Amino acid sequence: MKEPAITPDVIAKHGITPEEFEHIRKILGRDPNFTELGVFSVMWSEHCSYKNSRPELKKFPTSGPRILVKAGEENAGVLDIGDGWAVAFKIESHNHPSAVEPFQGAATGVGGIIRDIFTMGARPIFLLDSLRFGPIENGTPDAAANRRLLAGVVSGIAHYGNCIGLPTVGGETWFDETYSGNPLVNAFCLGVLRHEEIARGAAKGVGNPVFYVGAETGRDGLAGAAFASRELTEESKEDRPAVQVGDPFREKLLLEACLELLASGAVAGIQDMGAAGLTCSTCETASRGGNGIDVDLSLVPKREDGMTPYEILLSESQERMLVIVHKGQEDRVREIFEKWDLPYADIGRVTDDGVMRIRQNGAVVAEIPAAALTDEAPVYHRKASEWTPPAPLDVATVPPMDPITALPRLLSHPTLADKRWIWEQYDHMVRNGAVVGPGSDAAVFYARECGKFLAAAVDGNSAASRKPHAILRAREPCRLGRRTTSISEIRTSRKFSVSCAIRWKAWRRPAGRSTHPSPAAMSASTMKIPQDRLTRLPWLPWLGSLRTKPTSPVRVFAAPEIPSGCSANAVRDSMLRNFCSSCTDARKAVRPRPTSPLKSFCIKPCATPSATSSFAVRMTAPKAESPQLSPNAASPEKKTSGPTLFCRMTNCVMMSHFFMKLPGASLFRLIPVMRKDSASFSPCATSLCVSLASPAAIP
Amino acid sequence: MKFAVLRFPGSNCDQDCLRTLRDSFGVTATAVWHKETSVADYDVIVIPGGFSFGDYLRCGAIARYSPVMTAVREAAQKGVPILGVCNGFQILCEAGLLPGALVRNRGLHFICRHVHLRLENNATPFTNLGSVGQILRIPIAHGEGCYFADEKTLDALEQDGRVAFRYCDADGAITAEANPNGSVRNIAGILNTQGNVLGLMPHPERACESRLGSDDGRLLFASLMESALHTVS
Repeated sequence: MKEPAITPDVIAKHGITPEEFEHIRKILGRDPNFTELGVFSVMWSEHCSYKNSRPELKKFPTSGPRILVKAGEENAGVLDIGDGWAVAFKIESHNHPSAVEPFQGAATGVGGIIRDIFTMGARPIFLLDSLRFGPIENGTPDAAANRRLLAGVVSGIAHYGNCIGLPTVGGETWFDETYSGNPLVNAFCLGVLRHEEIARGAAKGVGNPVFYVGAETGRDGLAGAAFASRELTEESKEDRPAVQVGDPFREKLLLEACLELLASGAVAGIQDMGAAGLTCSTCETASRGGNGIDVDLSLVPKREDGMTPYEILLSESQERMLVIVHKGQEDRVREIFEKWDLPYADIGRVTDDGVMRIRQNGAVVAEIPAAALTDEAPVYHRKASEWTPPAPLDVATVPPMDPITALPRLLSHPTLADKRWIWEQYDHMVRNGAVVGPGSDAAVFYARECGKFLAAAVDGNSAASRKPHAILRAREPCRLGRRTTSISEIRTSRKFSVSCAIRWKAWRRPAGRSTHPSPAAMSASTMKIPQDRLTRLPWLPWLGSLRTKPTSPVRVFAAPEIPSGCSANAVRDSMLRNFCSSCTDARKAVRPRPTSPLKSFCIKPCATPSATSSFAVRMTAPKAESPQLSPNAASPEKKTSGPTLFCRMTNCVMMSHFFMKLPGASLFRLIPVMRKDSASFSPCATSLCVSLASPAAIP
Repeated sequence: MKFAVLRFPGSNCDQDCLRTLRDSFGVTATAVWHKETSVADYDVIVIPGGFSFGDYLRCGAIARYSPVMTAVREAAQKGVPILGVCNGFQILCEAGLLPGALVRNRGLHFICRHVHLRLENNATPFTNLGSVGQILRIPIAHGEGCYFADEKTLDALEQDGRVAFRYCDADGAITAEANPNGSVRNIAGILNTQGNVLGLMPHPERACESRLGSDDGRLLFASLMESALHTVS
């Protein structure tokens, strides 16, 4: 098959700018051929190289005393959790594929993140997900499309996670206009391993054989990384072939086989084939190992005949791994992969010349310095643009509303409503570890491998939710490529704020009473809330005290209408977030210039969890020990004058604990999102938090 | 007392079963790979949940051809207690060791939640420590757990007391609302004619520690141990 000639049109179609093409010519000392151009296009796509966002991502604190593998260093970060045990975890978005083909897009998102974890040598033990969809309930064609996306994404996650046997123990789902037709799908996976079991994705040992293991390569997901880096448009539907198709059963076998192989000690390096498939795995392992790699594509197991080198290299078929094996240990690979009925092939060798050399039937079809592909990717410092935060609303202008009317409406809004419909489709109980499962502030998982309890939560501060405690605050808004992101001072949720205002007006301490009525009594008398929900209803007399402090105002934004409904759980959440927001302000007053763009808030209850326990809010600063912020929070134990907060907060216990011990340990990722219909954009910084939990603190 | 926990490609509750048996009951539990041809060394055989062979065809339809199933069939004839949970139940039905079939849930969705079960027969090796009418709280997690059989088979099952568990509400009432997946006559678990093969959709191995929400599932494993004691003596 004759390869197309390299014309300016072909170059542009690969998303390579004329300047980048000149750079490629300089690296190679000649014009690239079609295959090489394809390799550069995926490796230098935003998805693989972070060419636009890297300068921003570098601002994250990534080191700490417990960090064994840093963010960006390998397929996933690894943190010490004591006693020789470690956790590997990562979160990754799969937004574009899910927008085009929700079921497979979400399923392969889960598959990809699981591979990233067991590539590190860890046994994956649970999943979380963070989802964003457009409105689903106003009866418009858009809402119907959003429902289809919601149903598809949820069943895709369920399909993959349930089949592979990993519990989805938590997550979050929000609905907002911003995400209409353009959902966000973030999947998180955590695994446990011994320190000495950490596997590296480096091609070490010149002459070592390079094995291809796992599913055969097909034409699915061709150049998916490049697709994912483009803007989502109406024409994106035609990119459906760029979405991969997942096979969780194969991945389950691959997982077991790879962990068995890693345990055998035969592995010198291992890397999954995710984005940019064989291309990325070969050049990244070579580059990390400081070596070259020489592989023959004719040896790669293929699903169909007649695939060109370009297609084989750029295919993103799922459930594949690249394994560099110690010389002489080849038989171990054969033995294990035959046991698990998985394809495998010895496709090449590690070389010492630093060149990624790709052959087809022995003839060289691409020859590129490996390090140039990974390290010399262009980096763009995009200019920041001004972002005007929405004007805060004077709480006085919010019309008072009858809480008995407002609360049920809040409770039934999709964003605030109970998400049982979603999480009951996930097998959250497999592996027998979900001590606190979905529907809570954080999941608590008993990792039987190491006998430790792990708490985990994922939280996005998308513009739609604007959860103050997850704010990623860059010093100035920035422009990433053509995408304007405003990662700045997104303070309050209009939805939350409404509930806040309602609570304020409705639940203020009744005049003439010296103590607060019990929330249960109050709710029962005025709210007519079903009894089983009472235990979850929030109680917020502290709002009054916050209001009086000029440095910690409770900000309230307007909403065009009162959202209809919320679950008590969510009301509680919103209350806490507003509280955290106030603490942000308090902290700013103390220390006006943040030392780092990253802040994380955690909520810590008193030692003995009970329905009436008070709580503390602590903030993580990258270096200094965490200051306790609010006067309310400073000494929760001493506060005996009555219930400060009525809610089940105990699950968050460990989060603060964790952050304080592991400054900067969070692995953050920026996910800029474009609105389909306009040139405005909303950012979503999704944060996640994992920590050790004390069994005694779990209710 | 030795338990065999079968392991098919795609089984994913095998580790949970092994850990539960070892840690909660202190018995010897061994994973048996599906290519093994003998299970003669074991006192009880557990076929765990999961997605054997991906369940891409009918659930359990491929697993039933695994070499180990021939040995399981022989063991069943000899009266060895065989417990099939979830995918294990589906495999037992496909293998013809239990009547009927498990089809897609009524709501078409995978469901994972705690349900209530009413114990219908305590004269089995799996339930001898329980009492008829006892209510157990045990989780389900399946997409194809809707039990179906023709009326004649169902009548025969009822007549012989071979319906072991039914979905019920918290008070033990057998109602349509308490039926999570549309199973005929709320059937959650059934026995073979000899009473030594039990298949059920709920996961007793997930309900053996109170911190996981329930320890009602202990009844099944404890009963198996109890019945083994009597067999020996």
